[in-house]
Amino acid sequence: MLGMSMGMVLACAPAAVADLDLAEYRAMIRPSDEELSFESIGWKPTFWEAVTEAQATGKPILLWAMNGHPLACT
Amino acid sequence: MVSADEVHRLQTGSDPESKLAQKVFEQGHYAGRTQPSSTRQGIYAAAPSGEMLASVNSNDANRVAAMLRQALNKWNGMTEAQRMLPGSPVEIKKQIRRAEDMFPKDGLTLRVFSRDLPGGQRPPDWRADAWNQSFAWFRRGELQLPTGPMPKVGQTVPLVSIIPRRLAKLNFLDNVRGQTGPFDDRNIRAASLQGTVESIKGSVITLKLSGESHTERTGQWSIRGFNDAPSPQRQEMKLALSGRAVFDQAAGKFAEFELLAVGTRTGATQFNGRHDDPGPARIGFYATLTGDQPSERVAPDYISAYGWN
Repeated sequence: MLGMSMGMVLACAPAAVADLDLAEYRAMIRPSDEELSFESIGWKPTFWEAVTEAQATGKPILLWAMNGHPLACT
Repeated sequence: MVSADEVHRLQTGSDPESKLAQKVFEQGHYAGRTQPSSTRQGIYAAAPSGEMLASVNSNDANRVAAMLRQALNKWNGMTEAQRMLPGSPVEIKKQIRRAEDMFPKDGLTLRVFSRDLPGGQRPPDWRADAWNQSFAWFRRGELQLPTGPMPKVGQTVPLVSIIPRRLAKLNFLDNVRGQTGPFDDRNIRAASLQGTVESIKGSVITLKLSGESHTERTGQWSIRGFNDAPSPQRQEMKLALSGRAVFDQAAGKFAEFELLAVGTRTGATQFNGRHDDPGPARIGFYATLTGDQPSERVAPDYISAYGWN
């Protein structure tokens, strides 16, 4: 990946913004633990995984289905 | 068992997973609906057989709890034969192909968060703290791993262009308040990412990342969901990129990767909730390596644009 001969970098002006403070912006943008707490539920990321496990354990299924995957961009 | 999944594929697919989901959906709250859309999104309780127990499309906890109680009552009154799927789900899985099956274990996989930055318009509701996320995958072959000599400290080298271009088109999108469509190659005004070597320890190279991302499109589209007709629009995303990465040349993979994209958004799209806040306003993205949780292996939204088979 690293190498001057690799990749086609577009001709463009240098970034207009100077060095961004990584820690500062990370804290602003990255969701807090509370905001990510929905992930602690242990969602199966595909419906069929839940069907498979529900069938094996004799349990019902709760499906959260959205336009855009609920665990990604919705 | 709890599952979260994307509804469009399930409600339109023809594989056994989609067919079973459709059986559930067509007993639920949006069964048969076509207007204002045919979406079947919502929360469903179902038996593995596909028998629906109860459903609702609401983020009201009391309504969801009531739905769950109703579902449990129905479940308790069902026989084993009514509850269970005929056949083995493990065997049936062999007929199901999903984008998640293409997860590039030996490539680069990123989780990209988005959020409005201070300075913009902040309404006194959920939109004030809204955020979203997406995923970006790169196969090892796409990364064109180097075989040449190690770079020197202080040297600046471009990262393979597919990284900033894919991020610009498919991840650096104004999805903070809701989904928006991807950009395409014609919309890219600039997309570059380079690394300056900060240190080298053995085969491990620490890079300071910098670059830019600029996309722009014009056309006719709606900006108020289903409530307006298409009209002339312009959308632009102009970002400065900065970050840090640790690349292990011997292992051929990134051990660490953090990338900020900070800049200005302009415009609105049909479902991204910006009709009353089109900017220009500040927006930020933070990309980092995915973890090992199953929830971090969800396929990228626009993986169909990757050209992968």
